[in-house]
Amino acid sequence: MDLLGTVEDVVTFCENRGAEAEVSGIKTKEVIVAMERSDIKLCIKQNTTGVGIRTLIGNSMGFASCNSLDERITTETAEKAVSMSRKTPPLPFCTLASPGRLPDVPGLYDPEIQNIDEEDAISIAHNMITAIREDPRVFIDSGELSISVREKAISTSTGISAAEKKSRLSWLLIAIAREKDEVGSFEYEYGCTTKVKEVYAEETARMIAEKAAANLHPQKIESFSGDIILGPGAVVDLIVDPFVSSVNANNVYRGQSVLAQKLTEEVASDVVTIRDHAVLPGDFNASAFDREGTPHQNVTIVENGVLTQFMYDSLAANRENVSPTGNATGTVREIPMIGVTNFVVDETSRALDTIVEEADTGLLITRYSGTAERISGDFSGAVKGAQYIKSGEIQHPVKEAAIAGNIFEILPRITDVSEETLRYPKMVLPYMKIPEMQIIV
Amino acid sequence: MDIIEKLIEKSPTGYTEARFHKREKNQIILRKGELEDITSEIYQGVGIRVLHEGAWGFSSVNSTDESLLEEALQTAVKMAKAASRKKKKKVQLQKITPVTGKFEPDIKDPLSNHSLEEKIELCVETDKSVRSHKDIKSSFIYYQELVDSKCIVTSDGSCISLSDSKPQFYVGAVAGSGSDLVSYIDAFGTTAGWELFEKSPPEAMVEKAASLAQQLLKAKYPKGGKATVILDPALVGLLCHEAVGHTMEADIALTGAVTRDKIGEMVASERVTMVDSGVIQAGGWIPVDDEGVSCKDVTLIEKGVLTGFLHNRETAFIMDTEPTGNARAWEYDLEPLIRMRTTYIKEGDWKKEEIIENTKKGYLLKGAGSGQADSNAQFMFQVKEAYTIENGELGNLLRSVTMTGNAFDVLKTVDAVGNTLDFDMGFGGCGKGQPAKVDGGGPWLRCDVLVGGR
Repeated sequence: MDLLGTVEDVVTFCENRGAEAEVSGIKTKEVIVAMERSDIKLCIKQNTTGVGIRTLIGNSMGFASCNSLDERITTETAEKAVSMSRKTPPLPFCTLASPGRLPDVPGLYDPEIQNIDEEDAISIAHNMITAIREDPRVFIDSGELSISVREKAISTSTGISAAEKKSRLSWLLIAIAREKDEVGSFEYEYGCTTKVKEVYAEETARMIAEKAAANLHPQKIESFSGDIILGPGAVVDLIVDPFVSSVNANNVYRGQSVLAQKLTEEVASDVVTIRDHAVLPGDFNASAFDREGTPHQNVTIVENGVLTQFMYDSLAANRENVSPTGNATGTVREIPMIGVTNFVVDETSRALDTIVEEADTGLLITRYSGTAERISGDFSGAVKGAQYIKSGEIQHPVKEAAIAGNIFEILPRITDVSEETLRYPKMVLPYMKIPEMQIIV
Repeated sequence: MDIIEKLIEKSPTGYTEARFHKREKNQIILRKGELEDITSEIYQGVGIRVLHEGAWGFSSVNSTDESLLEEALQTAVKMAKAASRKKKKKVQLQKITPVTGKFEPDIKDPLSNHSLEEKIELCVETDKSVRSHKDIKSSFIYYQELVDSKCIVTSDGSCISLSDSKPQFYVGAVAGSGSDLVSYIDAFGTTAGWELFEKSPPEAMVEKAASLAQQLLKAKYPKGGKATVILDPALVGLLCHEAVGHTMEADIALTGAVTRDKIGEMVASERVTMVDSGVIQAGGWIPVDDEGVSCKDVTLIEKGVLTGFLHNRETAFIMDTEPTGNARAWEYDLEPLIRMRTTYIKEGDWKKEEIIENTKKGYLLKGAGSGQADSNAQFMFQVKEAYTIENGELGNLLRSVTMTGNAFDVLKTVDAVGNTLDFDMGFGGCGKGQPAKVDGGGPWLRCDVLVGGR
């Protein structure tokens, strides 16, 4: 039976037991090549399946999941979910999502992926290793290439019935450079595409080799006040989590967001526009529907610095009598929660080279390793893979420097956003400059 | 077990390992009095790994059906053959003494003795108690239990069945208003049954979380800079695990971590002896690893001298030493990786009060928040509580404190080690491509670090 038929049958089973149900299913066929110490480590081929069954009796919720589509197992799992919703306290406003018109999101499945086998996958991985080793100082610490076809389906008692198939090719690398006894700070890069012909894994490998080598022979600096240019990786480490947490409408409701009263106010500088763009045609992260079956959309969260929208699932939307924004996320193994699907900070037309040239004294920071408190936004930690800038030129990598502050205080002080962007899982991020930051050594 | 043993006998390659793993997970989350999550999951199947012409292949199946298992075995062999054509350095495995038998932790009160209703009621009552405190704006309660059954059979003769039980419980409080919000989470996890709550009573966790959130709201930020600090067992555990332990995992060491060529060198104060154990029944308990190797205790640092790495069979062969039983896979459909277990510093001879009284100026740091480290042993940790010390006396509480440094530079400055041992890192988990339940700890100890402030 097809996946959609399976999840629909489970909904019917739950309804016959007196519960409403939302059933999500998944089927994945994947080949994974793992790399380690600049060599092929392991080749994996496996198929996985699963269903997640959320049941409601009134507003009382149960959730159970299993990693099988076998009828006996899905039935047992459904019984468990229904039984749980007879025992849990009601959650006000908790309902299933309502059906809506799904957007057309073309380009998510490339039939060429059926022609890729493990030999091709190993060949791509091998080419990445060869590319990195063009600089003999640089090693792959670890890496992974994944080629998969993923089908998902959802059916609910409220009439949602949807299925989607995607081709997914992604890779990540962690590389370090070593020269004599010195080990540089590691670098992490990620890439992805839905199209077989657009795999750019070797380009990723060359980029990471260059960045890892640039971290060799770091020098000590003195504490100073100057510009920091956060690379996309540092934006992930420092800004994304507290920001996303604060625009989660459920956290706003629970008193766990400092942006709770700031809708229509400036929360960032006017060069900053932030979206969850879940319907970008052909994009690796795009999809027609969210974890609850609500149609996905392009959600503008911050526009030219102004907070325009919080992110809603059906629970948060019901509470405020608004429409959900298609921000229910999660795998079939977990209850839907508010999250991002394709978190994008819009690029500008300003080249990174120009942004660096205009910095007097500062740091270009690749990674950040430290705290970034979700609720308060306070941060304190070490800059990693940082390059010292003096008079608009990159001078040398930096040893041991730290920054501290508050995310929500620095967002309005961003003066520049680059045209260059990099991808991370579920994100596309540019470089961002913040002036007058204290760098502590 | 019989089905898996038959499968191994049919394998056409030199080394084959099959691991049946059934995991039952139950989870309850409450936020501000509302049930945010109630999940019950069963995730089970068989993972098959083979070594063919020096390369690894892996496949898995969510069934114990014999024909499906054979199909998965053939797929794993095919993958290994494909990998072997491009793999440069061929894998060889160190010999082992096979392990057979049944293994289970010492559980006094199995989690299955307690109903879902009881677990929900525990969470609901704990949540109410947190929110009854003055100035507490929001709350977070999290209960999770992982109950595992495994059968592991290898072509080298290991044949084991293993059960495990790892619960954890978090109590969080948020104090403040508007843009000034502070949270404190008290958490505990270990290998245990319901007796977890005797060691860490929820009432005490509530009082700690609520009172510290209230106090942290009024606390100042630290100045920042190099300082003498006294670390509690939780932070000692995080130092052992995050800053040192990962550089002692042989796969990371071989890639180029700073520890690679340092066996026999003095890397810490002679007061420091650090061990990774699978035997101690803490959060990282495992008696036999997922390659069927017995989990012996590994002394990583002996009186300041680096003595040994953590191995799987492959790295043990490369470094010509014995495997240590550190190969662990999170679930059935993942391959085993070298992971830590319970990593700690052994106790010394100072009393905690003596260390404080003996410290002229510095900080007392308690409670491990998040932590990260590089393969060059540079680390950064979030500290949950920090107090000033002046002339041997504790002073004010500080907020948003971090500690950074190079782990080995810090360990060289250890000049006082407490005489009691505790483990307090069994909640949450380690991430290294896949999760792992681990633990860490040690005594109270004094050293120098860079304290982060504003």
